[in-house]
Amino acid sequence: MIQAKLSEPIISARGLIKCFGPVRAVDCIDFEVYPGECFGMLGPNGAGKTSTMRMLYDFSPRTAGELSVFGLDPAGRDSVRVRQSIGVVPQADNLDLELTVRENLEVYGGYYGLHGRKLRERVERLLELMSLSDKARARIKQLSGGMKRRLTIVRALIGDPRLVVLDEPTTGLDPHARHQIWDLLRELTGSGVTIVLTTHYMDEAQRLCDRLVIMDQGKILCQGAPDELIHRHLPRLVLETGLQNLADGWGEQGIRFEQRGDQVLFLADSEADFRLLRFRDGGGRKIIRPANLEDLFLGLTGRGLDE
Amino acid sequence: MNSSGIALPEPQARPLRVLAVWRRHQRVYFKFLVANVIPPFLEPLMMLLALGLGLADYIGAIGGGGYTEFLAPGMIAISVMFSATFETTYGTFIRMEYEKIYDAQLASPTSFFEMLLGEVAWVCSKCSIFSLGVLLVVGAFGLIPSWWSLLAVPAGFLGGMVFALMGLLVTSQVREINNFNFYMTGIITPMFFFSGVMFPLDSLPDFLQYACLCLPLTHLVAVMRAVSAGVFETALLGHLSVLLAYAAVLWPLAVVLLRRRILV
Repeated sequence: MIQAKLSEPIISARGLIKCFGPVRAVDCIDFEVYPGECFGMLGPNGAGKTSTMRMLYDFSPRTAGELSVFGLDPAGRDSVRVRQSIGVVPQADNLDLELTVRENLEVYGGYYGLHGRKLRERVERLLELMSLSDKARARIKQLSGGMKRRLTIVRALIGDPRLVVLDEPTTGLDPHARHQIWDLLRELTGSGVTIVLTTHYMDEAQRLCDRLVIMDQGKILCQGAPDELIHRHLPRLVLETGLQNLADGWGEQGIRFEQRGDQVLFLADSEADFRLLRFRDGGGRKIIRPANLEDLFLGLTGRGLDE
Repeated sequence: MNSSGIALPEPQARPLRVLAVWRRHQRVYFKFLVANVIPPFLEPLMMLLALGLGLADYIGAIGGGGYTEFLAPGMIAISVMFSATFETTYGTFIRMEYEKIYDAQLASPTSFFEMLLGEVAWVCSKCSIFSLGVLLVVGAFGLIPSWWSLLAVPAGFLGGMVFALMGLLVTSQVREINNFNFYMTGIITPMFFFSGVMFPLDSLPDFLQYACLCLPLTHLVAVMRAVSAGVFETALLGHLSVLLAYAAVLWPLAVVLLRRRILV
């Protein structure tokens, strides 16, 4: 087992670059992940999240920059040693479709060098952990999408990893399945496992992540704790309303706003500021809510909030 | 260090990890035992019946025996070639592109080299099993005169390795599954016709005979023929050396090119 001091980062990237031909998928990024935290990577499709993750477990050779995982170079001589302590959940499930649930875990445990009683015990424990025990003998084809995802996640835990890397763990799942996976991930961080995940769900990121980065076009746009990031970049409150509810000249009232389709979002630090807004008579639905991660995400990666 | 993106060979191969990969393929294969095993055995049987019964009377004695006796050892070599070829072209391509099995294996602490060793070892094992199976089938017709023919099992392993590595090499360059047609029609089919399975090569013009000597199948057929008859001449060493040389050259190529293809 690889030992690391608590205060030292478990992952550290400096000037990390990944090119595919002329395309810079990851464009000189720096970040650190600390033991026991849940670290999120957010960004539009093609932002470079998956490419970054794949370099962590040496699936993708990096083009340039420094990367260390558990203090070792994942692409160097210790590659296999690094991966021994990592569990990977890829974006698309890549289970062995012909095999049963239990066989999938047994086969994967073999890749981690497990065998005999130790392997069998761990397989049973994982089946229970994700309430898959009664499906142990089912073929993968007979499983629902949520069950397949759960199996892919517990499969990543077969080697008792210190770091689990998940690429969009809950995409396409129903709310029950998502909650089940969130519970498991919290349990993992609670027991000291470090998690790196990508997601397109802002509620998921806000709920799970201790810290996160927002990426776009291979670069990190900002990083920090979700609440801290929101407070750093956005006013406290958002008033959301339909374009049709606003009186003429609404854009000239000195309040910061953003238009998303036929919705307009006004941003201010107190409700009093919204009193300046003029609405059409009769008015329509107006919602005042705290600014959230989605506001920040859309602002940073799409039409700018700070124009 | 591997920060420049240049493929580094990973020399370490831990037997347990290689075995784990081998076991994965074996388990998947045995899930569909009937569908996987019956047709490959029926094929040589049908060929033997069609050619043996249909042509034997017209051909008469060949190579010191009847035509069916002549055909039988070639059937073993053919089944080795086809099973190794299909497994490492279409099979590997599907595992790589559609099922993403290699992504799963390489995310684990099994190295690329161990993964490849396990895969090739499985294909070779499968070819050994097929060799034995076809041997039993043709043996049941009394077409195999010697107990030495059991050496077809290790010979199938070696032949399987050559065709597996050739297949993997092709797969490392193929982006579109239909392009395997070129390999099948351009290489595998001619090999099937010009490797001394259906007729002795010495009936061909000289230049063609030399060309045929470059084909690995020619040498595998010769090896199968020798062990089936239990006749061991020095030429057998030559045939074995050619097969070994093929494997020795193909191995490093397959490692480097497939690695470059999968780890991007």
